[in-house]
Amino acid sequence: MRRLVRSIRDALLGTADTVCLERARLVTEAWREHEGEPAALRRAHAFAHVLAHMTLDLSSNPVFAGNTSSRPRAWMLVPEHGFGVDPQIALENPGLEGHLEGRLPAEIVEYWRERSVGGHAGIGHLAVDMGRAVHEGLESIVAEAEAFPDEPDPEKRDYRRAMVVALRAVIDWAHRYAEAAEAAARRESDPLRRSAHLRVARACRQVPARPARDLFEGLQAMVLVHLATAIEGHGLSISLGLPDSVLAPFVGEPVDRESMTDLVAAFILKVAANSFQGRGSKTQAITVGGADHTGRDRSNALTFAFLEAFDLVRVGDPHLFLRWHPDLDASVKRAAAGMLSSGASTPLLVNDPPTAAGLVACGVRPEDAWDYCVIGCNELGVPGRLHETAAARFGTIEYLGLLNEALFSHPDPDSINGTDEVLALLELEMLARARQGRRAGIERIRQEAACVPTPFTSALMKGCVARGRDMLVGMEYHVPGLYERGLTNAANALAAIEKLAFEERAVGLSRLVEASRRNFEGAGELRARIALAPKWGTDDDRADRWALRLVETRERVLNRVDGEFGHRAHAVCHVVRSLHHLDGRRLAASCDGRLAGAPLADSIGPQTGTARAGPTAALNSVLKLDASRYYRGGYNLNLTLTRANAPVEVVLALIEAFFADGGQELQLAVLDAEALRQARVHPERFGDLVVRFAGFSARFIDMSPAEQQELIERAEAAAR
Amino acid sequence: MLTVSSIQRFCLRDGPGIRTVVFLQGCPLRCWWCHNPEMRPREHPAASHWETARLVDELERDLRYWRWSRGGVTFSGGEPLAQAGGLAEVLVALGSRGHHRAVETSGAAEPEAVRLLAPLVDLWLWDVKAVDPDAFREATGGDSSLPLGNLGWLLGRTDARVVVRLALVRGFNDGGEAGRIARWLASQPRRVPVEVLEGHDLAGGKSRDARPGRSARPERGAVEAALAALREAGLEAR
Repeated sequence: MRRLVRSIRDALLGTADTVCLERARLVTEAWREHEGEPAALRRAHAFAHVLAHMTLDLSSNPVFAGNTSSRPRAWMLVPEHGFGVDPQIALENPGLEGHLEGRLPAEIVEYWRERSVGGHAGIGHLAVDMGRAVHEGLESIVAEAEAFPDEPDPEKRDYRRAMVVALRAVIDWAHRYAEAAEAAARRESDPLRRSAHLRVARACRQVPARPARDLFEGLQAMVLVHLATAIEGHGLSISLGLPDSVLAPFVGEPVDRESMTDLVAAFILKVAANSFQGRGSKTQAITVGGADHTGRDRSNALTFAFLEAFDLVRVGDPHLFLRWHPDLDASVKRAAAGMLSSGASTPLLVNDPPTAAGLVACGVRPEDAWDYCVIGCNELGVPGRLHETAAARFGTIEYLGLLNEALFSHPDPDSINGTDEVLALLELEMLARARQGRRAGIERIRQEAACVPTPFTSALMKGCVARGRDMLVGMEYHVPGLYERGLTNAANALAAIEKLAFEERAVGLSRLVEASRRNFEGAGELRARIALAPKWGTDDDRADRWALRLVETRERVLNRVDGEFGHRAHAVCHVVRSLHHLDGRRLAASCDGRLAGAPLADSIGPQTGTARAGPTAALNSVLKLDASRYYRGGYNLNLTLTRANAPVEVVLALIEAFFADGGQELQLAVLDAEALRQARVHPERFGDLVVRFAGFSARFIDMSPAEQQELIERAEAAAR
Repeated sequence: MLTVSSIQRFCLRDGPGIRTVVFLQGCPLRCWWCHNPEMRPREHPAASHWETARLVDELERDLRYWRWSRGGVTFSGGEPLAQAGGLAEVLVALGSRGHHRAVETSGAAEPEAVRLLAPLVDLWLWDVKAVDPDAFREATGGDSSLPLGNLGWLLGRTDARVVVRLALVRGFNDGGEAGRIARWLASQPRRVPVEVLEGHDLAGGKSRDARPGRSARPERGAVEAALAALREAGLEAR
């Protein structure tokens, strides 16, 4: 089995990206046929048409049934959102830009020209109620949806009909796999593959229609539901929720540890083969561990299996998050710290108490809040219950851009009397943006719910069947989510302004603004002085106070906007992925000394090269921001250590200390600059080197040269 | 009041756990391979002066990491014993707050300094350079009887925890001197573990006493030979 897992992995990663037109063609056919029908029904029929006619691939990974395209790494297209490469994926994967050009039939492109709603990345950023899919089965949801015979509201009636069409389509899809697997077993001569086919056939006769009877069927049900969500058109960041908790009832099965790990490894590879946007990271999150709302540890043998399996397969996506809490099994903690110490950059760690407290502060019931999982790069949600917190439909607070705008648009910066006044100007910019973002978000959701509803996914969201509404508008919890970025650079800029313009009074604010406008040309000496100013992430209150002031300002603004729009609460998530590069390209130079076009900080931590007081100081700075209050949607923190500085005991101590005092998330990377340089020259020898970039993980050898360079710089800075 | 050259956080090689190392300004020795010659004079423009309470506050920034790693504070230098009075006050304050205290020293100080600090130090990292008085004087400009006498007293009269550190420097103590050190240590009233380190050339001649063309890196095989000599003398060495 281990050999089979390795061969599946190597074949998947060694396959070049191509394009699969099946979904695009089938959706287009169905869209034409169902013209004039309500959007939900039209989408459900299109979904059913795809599942009924798509090629079933049982050969590339025979351990589980489920595929999104006819062959591995062939892009599945979602014309409902348009044809294109997500800008982040294009940035992260040089060569994928323009990947689709010349590969799409003109008549399909033409058909969708006026019909696509846009947004290459799809909706995504969600985790469905896998517990229900696994333990109750989709037939139970069909029954629920059919239990409203006298529904007077035609919209709700249609939506529930669409749900039934979509749910039945997935059940039929599983049966197609069962038949195909039986046929494949008859043809197969290899005993291992034949038994895999037979196991798949048996399982797909049962799940996801009816409750899973064992661990394999549970995992098989999850794979099919997950990939069906992708095929329905959800795009990036479809997450798998909490598989070790969901499958806990099967953990007592007499399965030896290695077999369980291999099974989970094959499961991970199935998820990795989701072909939306090809090799681009889909940030599919798998969250394990954690406590329930009574504080009871939920980790079990499967938690270990996921850790081991991720260590085994070393793929960038899916991503593994471990929910940490004081009573997390000590051996799980140790296993995770051991992986991190060895340089695996996985798992990513989320701390339960402040995370759950943040969600409770948004109005989520404690028992739901403690059921949270990661539903994106690091965004938070609750499987089947809360997803609006993610995906930034309500805008992004990008502090550095706001600061630049406030300063650059000012007629006479020298008339500004202090850094507080700069902050007040920034607040005005922020308020205007936040209002605009809230309006746009509401409009975007309305439009997406109307044009690209997802009845299958919605059927797996609590309350949507009863309400007869799409997940975008029918969930119990409405917590508008925003992204935040640029905190580090803006705090550094404010600290530099405070020191140079108002404390030392050596440089007028106009001169600082003018120098950044001119990209510090001829102002090398000024830039050197800025470099010496206090920096966020060094546990220096002279800089850290500005980060705190920025998030306080943001909360004041968003609370006001909540009131104006009648929203009860909002959630802000500090999300980077690789947006710090895209932001950087767009932005002029800034008062933190950053040059025009240069990337922003890669996390909420210090800017690379400025963490002069070391990792503990960086953690201390971040701890000054109360996560449960200011980051109810989460943050991402990168901390890089060198191998010599990261024995298991030290890694454990850093994690425990940071989390015991309220840290929310930690992405620990143990990097060796020399090894990274070697990997750039000899990629063939470093196929297993998975690293965390800013907000996503990937194999180092698959990254763009700019990303590789950024990681090498991080490793070098950690070694100083 | 302490004169501090620098404070370095997240140090992993100067005692157990995650430690904050306070480099104290001033050292009576003039080792030619010295890595921190700027710390030799009693005063230096880059040095800062710390009242005990303020220093403890500053150090306690990393308290949470000491707790979780069983780490603490290490005083190094420079020569910490050269500021024994001020150091004692800080050690008392740290001890009363339950923090682990280590002192890294060459022992080149008046006996009173060691007697004053002995009850306040949880771990001594004792840098034994040489036993031979001439070799010691030649390489460091100091008198070997002070550090040896101090260490002998500590081992004979107290139950202080001591780890000896033997940094091998080419042509100084990486040959026969290592054997003499081993025998001297073995002859003490109690035996303490020894860590063998390699001298290196990081300072790159920033010292006034740096000897052009002379490397501190020990001869090949010197570490193994020193470990063998120490073990042969019945000492725990690594």
